[in-house]
Amino acid sequence: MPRPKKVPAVQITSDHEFDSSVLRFRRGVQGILDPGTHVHLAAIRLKPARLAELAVGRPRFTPLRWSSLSPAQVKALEDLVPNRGADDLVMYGDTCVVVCPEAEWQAEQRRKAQLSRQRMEEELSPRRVEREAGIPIDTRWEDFGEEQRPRSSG
Amino acid sequence: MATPATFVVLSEIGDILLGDFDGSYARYAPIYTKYTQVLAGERSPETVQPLMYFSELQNVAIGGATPFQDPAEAYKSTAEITSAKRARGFQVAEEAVRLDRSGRVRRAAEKLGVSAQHSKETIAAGLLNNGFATNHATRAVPLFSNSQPLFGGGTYDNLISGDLAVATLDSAMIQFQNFVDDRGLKINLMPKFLAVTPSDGRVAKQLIGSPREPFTAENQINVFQNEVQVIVNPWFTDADNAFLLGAPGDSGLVLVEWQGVRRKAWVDEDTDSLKFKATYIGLVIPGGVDFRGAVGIQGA
Repeated sequence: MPRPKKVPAVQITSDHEFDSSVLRFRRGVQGILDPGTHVHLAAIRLKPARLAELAVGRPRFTPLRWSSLSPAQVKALEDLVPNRGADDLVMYGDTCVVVCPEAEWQAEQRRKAQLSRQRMEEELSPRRVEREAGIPIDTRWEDFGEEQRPRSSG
Repeated sequence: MATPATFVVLSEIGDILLGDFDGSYARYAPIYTKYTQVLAGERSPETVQPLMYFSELQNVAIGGATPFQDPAEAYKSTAEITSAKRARGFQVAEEAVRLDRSGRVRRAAEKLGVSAQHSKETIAAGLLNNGFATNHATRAVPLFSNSQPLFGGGTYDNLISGDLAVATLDSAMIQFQNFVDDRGLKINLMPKFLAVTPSDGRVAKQLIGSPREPFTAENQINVFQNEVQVIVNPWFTDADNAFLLGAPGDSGLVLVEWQGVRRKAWVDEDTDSLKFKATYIGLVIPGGVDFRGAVGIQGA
């Protein structure tokens, strides 16, 4: 059997690289799209409002549409996604392929990690303690200057 | 248990507050213990060093010598007590207790009990919340990564990038059941839990509970039905992340606990005030002691 001239975009990995099917698909799509594009799978069937959430979220994702691709990209992508479906969206199973700049995705991941660390270490504000504990907290003394604060005698 | 309307002796209040604390601390069963192994810390640093499986049995001739192999250790994990202690307390003056007609001060112990419970859940959930970003000390990748290093060579992918859906859950299930040892031996783990935030609770229950695959017209059976148990954990910080997890001990999720939540009430006679405090000493090992037994589905 003659060897095919075109190698599929999806890399068949060796037995020692246990990559998931999602990872292989994402790598394949990333190889077709412009460099620096982050590929994500959005659950639009299970969450009808998911595309709207992603469009206004951080980073802002846009759905990958067949009509927005160049002919060469369409041809390459058809090797990965053989069934186009009724609408213009590029689908992977029950998910829709959405994209954003990789730099924005990485920046958001760093921001989330930093927030998570802060949350673990943060000190509660008096107002938050008041709200959570249901005990009024009086911080008037903190608003006064050092010389106005009550001092212990002696 | 609600406290009585009036207090008579300051020293007697402590016992009542201890009861209030215990009642509110135990109001809900802990969530994290379903899938996290709680390891009693007996030293510091506490060390976990998993032993690798031996290679497959080798073919030998009848009467031939047995091929021996040294036990080999995989990536080491350590947890130090230094930064593991948590404490919170409150103090009230005797006069404040006597004049507290509305009972707000007297309910403080209940509130502290909730804080203690919240703290433990937050600490335990931190392992999964930081599982996409915080590297393991020796493995040098987070708990969830596309390239978990295998000692015997190669990498393993336990990070699925995408929202929780049929396609991503299918991929996560495959990765979970294909987990291998550091030498590439199949270890035959089965997932037990799909842990999600309240935001994804409905999606998870539809994916796991439906007799037919949800939201399709083909009427095919739902192969995930009752395969795992859904755990909704409000302490997960990212609304779109989901975690496919094994039973405690099957995964590398470990909480090292040197001291459980302890509470104490005492009267400071010098200032005529009642002091109450709760302490806890425990932490999780960032990155887990092992990546096996956990697959992360990372939403956007």
